[in-house]
Amino acid sequence: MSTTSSLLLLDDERKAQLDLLNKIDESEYLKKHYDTKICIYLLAAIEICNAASGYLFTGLNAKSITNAANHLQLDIEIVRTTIDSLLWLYTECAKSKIATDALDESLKLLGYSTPIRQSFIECYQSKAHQLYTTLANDLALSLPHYENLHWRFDVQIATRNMRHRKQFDPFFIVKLILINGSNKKEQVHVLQVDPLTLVHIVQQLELAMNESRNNHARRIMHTFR
Amino acid sequence: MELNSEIEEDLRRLNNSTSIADNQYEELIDKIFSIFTSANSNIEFSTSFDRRLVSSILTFIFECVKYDFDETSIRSKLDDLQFTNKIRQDRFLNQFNKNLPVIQLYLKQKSIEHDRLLDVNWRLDLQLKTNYTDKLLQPIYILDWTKREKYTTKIDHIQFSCSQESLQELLEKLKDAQSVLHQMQYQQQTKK
Repeated sequence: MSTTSSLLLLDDERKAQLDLLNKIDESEYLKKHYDTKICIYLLAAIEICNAASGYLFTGLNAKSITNAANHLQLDIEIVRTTIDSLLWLYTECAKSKIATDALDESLKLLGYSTPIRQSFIECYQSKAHQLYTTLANDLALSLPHYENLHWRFDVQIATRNMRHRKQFDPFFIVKLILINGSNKKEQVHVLQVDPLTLVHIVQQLELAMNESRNNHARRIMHTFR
Repeated sequence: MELNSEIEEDLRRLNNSTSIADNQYEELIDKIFSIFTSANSNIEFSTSFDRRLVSSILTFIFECVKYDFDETSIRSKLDDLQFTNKIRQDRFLNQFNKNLPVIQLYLKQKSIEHDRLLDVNWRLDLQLKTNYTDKLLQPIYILDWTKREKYTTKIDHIQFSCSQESLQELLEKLKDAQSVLHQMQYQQQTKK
């Protein structure tokens, strides 16, 4: 696939795999019911698109593929490779954040008729955001990331080592919860923070926050946009 | 305050100028108190003092601080132990009073510990592309929290990333926590 063009350009193997959607009208089932051909043809194509977009998040399910293949009276293996290729196509679209009209043009290159293209685009649009988030956050290489923070404010008033002296030492307990990038496991850190350290940390993080809003950051964002 | 018989005996020894000369006594007391203020934790004692004597004096100091003894009660305690040499008592008390705040802090901290947060470092990156996404353009913060592990002097780091939104959330929570300090200050001022 070329990244310089805004269209998706597929290699021949992928094209062949995705060609099933064009051949659905040749299936036995449709030959028998020639009158309702157009309607069924649409339904089948839409069904496959829907099934594929469903599998994006659940993974391929052998049983439902068998059901779909039986229903359409098509070979199971063909249905599987078609769905597999459609999944790949959805993912590529999300990866390059393709615009709707560019996607439509790309699908025309595959020889898809208007109803199939529409149904593909609808399915894609309904899942695009979720798919993109998954690609950008869940799959991407990442450090442990912030999940949550709880805090508590305590005052130490007596200890075994200093029984006969009035103590009054305020401090914070902070519980920082992180999620590991790779295995999604929780990492919990319990930390004691002295009041002055807390004030310092708030100052530092405020500086960090402001840094992303200044002109330099905006200019760089603009350059890459 | 209750001391065992060995410690009591050591303190009696301190009173005896034939077994411990005046200059030796002064050196011993100065060195023992310098433990609390010196950055160097390996203070060499001359071989003439055995380790037991040093540890007995330290125990006595800690007990005095623990029970918050004032000068009069320390003097009477030393008198009870037959450590009656007035000049030597003065030397001890002089050093004791000078170092008291540090010793108190030391004992207070020798309590149950949590890992302690010392500082944060941050970096702002702009994520552009990954093997799964072509056009990312996402600001991402990398934070490094420095902590000291409990009961050790070991410094460790917690490194994690967070989005701009997460950092905002984190900052708001810490600001909430900080506001407790202002409230407390205000309460104390109004009570005064």
